Amino acid sequence: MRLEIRTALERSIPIIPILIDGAQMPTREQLPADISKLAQLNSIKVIYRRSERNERQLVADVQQALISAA
Amino acid sequence: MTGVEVDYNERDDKGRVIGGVSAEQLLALHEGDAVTLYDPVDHLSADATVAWIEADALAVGFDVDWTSFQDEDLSLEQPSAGAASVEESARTSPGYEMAAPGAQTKPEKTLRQVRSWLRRTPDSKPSTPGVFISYRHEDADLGRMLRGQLAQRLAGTPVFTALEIVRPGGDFADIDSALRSSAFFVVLIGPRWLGEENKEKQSES
Repeated sequence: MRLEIRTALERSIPIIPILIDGAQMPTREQLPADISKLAQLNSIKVIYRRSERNERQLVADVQQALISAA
Repeated sequence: MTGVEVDYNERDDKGRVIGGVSAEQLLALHEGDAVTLYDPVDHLSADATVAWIEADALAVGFDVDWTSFQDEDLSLEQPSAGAASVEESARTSPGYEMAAPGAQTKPEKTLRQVRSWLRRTPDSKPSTPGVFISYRHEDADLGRMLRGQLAQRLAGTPVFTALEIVRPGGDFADIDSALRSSAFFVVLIGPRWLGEENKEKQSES
């Protein structure tokens, strides 16, 4: 997982973090050095709380984020 | 590289034309390359020359020879002498097909749709050329759901997940190749996501 994130960062592929169930965006200090850039990305974050009803919303939000980032 | 066929027969749920061409193919293009554009849905075909490339955004601009748009019944014509250099490269490419004299009229509506996708103006953003979803085992159910839903909604867009690519004995080369075809990287971060990353860091240091 760390390898794929590092590769995405190296290639400047736009990253869209999705924070699930109250997860916090990790800080730079919390991350291994090679992927610490993840913390300071100016990217679209999708906050999501697990429930059956929310799944449709998550998909729609992610799709919107992809369109916005394009 | 010449003679690349670009199918753009996929349309998203808003009716916008999206490319059936892979990000890999787009990245392999260079300015001046001659390509064949083909829309099986409307039985249209046209020849184009790549006018500009914006690799980061995976955007490709095409100068389309509109006069060659015609009905499915295509016929070949010999390259005309004295054509401009850009035109010439298109005309002599293997995939070049030119309108027969008195060919079908141009379906303007389709041309506008095609042009709006190929030109990529800020107002007409295209669909994504590839999405890579990264998640931990704990979030696998969500990752799989997202992958399935996005693949369905973004018809023609490849959606990758690392857990499905990498199996025991698998190779990072497969992830590498998936990432090359991806314009976006979605990472699911659950409450315990950081735990694993921290653990990895400690065991490696």
